[in-house]
Amino acid sequence: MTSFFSPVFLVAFLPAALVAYALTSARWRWVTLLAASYVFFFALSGRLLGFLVASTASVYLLALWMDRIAVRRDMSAKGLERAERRAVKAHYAKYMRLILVAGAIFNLSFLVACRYLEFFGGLISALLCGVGAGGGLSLTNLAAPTGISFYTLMAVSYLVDVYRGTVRADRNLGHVALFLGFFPLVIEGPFCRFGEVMPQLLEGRRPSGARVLTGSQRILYGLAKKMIVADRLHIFVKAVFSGYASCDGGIIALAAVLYTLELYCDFSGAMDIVCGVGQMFGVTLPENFKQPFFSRSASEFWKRWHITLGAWFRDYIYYPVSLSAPVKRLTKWGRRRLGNHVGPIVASSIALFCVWVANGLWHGAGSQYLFYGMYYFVLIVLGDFAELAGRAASKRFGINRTSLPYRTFQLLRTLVIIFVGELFFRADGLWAGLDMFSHMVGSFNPASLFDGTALGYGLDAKDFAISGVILLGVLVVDILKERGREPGRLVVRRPNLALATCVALVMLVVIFGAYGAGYVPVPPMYAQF
Amino acid sequence: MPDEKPVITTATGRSGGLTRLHAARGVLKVAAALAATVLLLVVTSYVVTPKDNRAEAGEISAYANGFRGLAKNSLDVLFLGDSEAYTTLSPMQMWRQHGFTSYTSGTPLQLVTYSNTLLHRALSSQSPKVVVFETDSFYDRTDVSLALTRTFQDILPILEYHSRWKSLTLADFTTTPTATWTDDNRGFAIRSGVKAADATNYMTPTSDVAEIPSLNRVYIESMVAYCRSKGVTPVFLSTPSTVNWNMSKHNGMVQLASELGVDYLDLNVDDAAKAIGIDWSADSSDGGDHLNFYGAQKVSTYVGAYLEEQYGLADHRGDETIGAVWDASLRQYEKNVTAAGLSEDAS
Amino acid sequence: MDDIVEILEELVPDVDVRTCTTLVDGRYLDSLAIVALIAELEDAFDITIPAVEIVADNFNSAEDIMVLVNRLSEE
Repeated sequence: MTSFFSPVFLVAFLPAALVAYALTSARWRWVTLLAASYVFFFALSGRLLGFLVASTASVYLLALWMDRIAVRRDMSAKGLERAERRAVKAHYAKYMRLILVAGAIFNLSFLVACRYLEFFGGLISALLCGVGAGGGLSLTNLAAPTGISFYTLMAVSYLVDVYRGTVRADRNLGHVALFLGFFPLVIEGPFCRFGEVMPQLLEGRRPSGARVLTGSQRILYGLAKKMIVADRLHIFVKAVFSGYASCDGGIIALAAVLYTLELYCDFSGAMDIVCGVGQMFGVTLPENFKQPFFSRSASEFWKRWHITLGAWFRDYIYYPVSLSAPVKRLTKWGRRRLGNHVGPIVASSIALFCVWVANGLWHGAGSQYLFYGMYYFVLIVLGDFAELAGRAASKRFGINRTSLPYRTFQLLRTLVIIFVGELFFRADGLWAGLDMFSHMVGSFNPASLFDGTALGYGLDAKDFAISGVILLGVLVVDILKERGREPGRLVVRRPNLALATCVALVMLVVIFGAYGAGYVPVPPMYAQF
Repeated sequence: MPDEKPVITTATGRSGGLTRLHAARGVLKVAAALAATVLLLVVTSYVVTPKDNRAEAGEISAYANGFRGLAKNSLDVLFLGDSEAYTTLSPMQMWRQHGFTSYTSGTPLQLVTYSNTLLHRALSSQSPKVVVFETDSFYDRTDVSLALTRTFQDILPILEYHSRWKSLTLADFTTTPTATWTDDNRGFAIRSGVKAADATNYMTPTSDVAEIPSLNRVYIESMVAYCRSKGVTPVFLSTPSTVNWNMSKHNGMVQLASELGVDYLDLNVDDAAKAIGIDWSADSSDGGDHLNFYGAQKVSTYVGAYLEEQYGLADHRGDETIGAVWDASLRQYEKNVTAAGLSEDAS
Repeated sequence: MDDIVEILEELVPDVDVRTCTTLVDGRYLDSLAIVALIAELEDAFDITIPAVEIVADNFNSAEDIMVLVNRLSEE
């Protein structure tokens, strides 16, 4: 069993877990979830489960410690005058902050050891060479347990939430273990907040027929996206990206577009399975995608794509940095000197920079990922200025910024930004990415898209046709969702139609899926994190 | 998220009965959906199943499935295994030398899960005296996912041949599957290259016993039992390879064979190795991973004689029907050998 | 209340801040504007707005902001 797309998971593990869950009494259902989650994690990562246990134990204990200090703080501060109260609270806050920082560093160090040692080793070597100190530093990453990039950030978020008082520390180690190890979350997220997901996990709702059917429908939809579209487009994308020197610009551009679609279908498909599974167990998990290709700016894109990652960075990097004392002073100075509109942008850029370094690096330990982060940083800051300019211009020249032509322009502009960004993201390194980009722009020949050249990379006309048909279906579903019509509600309103949809999806996956003889299995793309 | 359907309570409080009715209707609907799915899977399986056992007709691993084109119950020996099998065992040579009919049903990196499928397919239309399992695949790890997939593919061919959606014709909807084709080489692959092998650490003695993965054991035991239930004698065979074989794997096989009571012949050791006399500087095509045609000749000579003697295989060379068909293939085989720039010993 | 409205009007020009109840949910106040707003509020009312208070419920309308400011002034 390697992922949610494997037959063993869908046909054996999931039904068994669901039955065990249903048969357990409500009070103990969360224990069944915990047991199932650890079985799942062990099946995927074996003894590396130890890393998860270490993280769990550390945040459990440190959170309890912070809680104890908070209780003492509140007792000492009772009945005092306002100024004195603040001083006492600040005093205790210092201790809590120390614990928080220690906990964060402890957990993040595992992440660094498993994913970034080699990269940092390379950086240090380059630095040493640069200052003439010679010698190299060669470090190797430790073997990484599944989902370490996901559960580590969730562990840190739990610590911060306890520090801030958003949640109380949980006295039950099992609860914390379930939060970090809940099996639908463990491979590719979404990032959950303790306060939002724990109550649902503990509720132990009985699986109802309607919820299981809704969940199944969603799972099958995700499976269809991944197996029919993503795994199929993967063939073309892989061929072009590994041999781009002989491809002309039009083909490279097409590969960038198809890669973006592959990534969307793979990752959102996985999220559909994850949320569908959650639904079956009575847990509503947060959405990671909200029709991202309808975005009208890069900034909006990151509020519609991998939403929970953006929310994590916003709440745990952006706000803390931009509301820190020095940056707040800068904001006020900015507003006074540069005006109400420009001022805040300057200061928030500092926080944005931190966010985008982190975002880039989170996706991978390589210079091209840093580039990817900086690419969006620059575009978003420019976008903020452009928004101001656009507003001013539209007032001055009477341009209607809500008109269809203007909105279409915004959509297309954003799509181009997205496709170019993904080109760099997928390329085999930063130099390859730059090479491909210049190649694409330099020898762009739209004719190659229509004269059959595109059929020489592993996909024939019928492959493109079936991908197009399914993508059209996805587009229709996304348009409906943008208008507020949730497909999940179909189950309750029209159960017969929902059942028919499930049957149809099964047949589509079985017949048109890119699996079996002649296909190489494609692991889910975000599972490498 | 909307929950269960609303419960209707009447004045006399008969809500229980009505929710039960709703629940029963729900279960019925789900059952109907499942039945519809199964029906669709069966129908589509029928449509996509290749209507002939040729590669052009959409057959997968046509060479390994070529035994289907043989006359019913005309096969004396079946060889199963991965590339070690199809590069070393030449049924046509054995036909010429001993007159028994055999087929090498081998595929690259064949796993025991697929060997099992091939075995069942073969024994449904053939009744060989002996089935020989090349043992290299016994040590290749399989996993539950693969096994599950293979099992479902055997039951519902749509899962195996679904890619034929691109090449369906009207005939697929109207004709029944046939098997008209068989390989003139009878599943053997003629390899002409020469790349010397390093035989320095080859079969160094050790007391280590390599472990056969437990899932593989399940499949091996099942195949052995299936053979015996059909009156077929199972035999384990290890063909020569410096890269893939070693003493600890040999020890593992000796143990397995004795536990299951199956005859085991290892061509890498003792008298067999001496008698075959592989020259590792000339008989391998890729540095010891596989033998080339010359190596295969030596192996096939030995194995052919061994099988005929041990299991009393009949000589069909005089037979009218079988003799004619197999002699014709033999002539084509000899042409194929010459075309590859090779020559056969007249043995 | 008027101070709050004045601050809001400077930061969110397109909306009638006195009556709007979806300042955050309706995306009128984005992360950028919230940061500036918080800086101004902390200055104007001598309070500290901790991160735990940065939720939609506290900033969706001028009314909500006033409630928040009053509460934090007491602490």
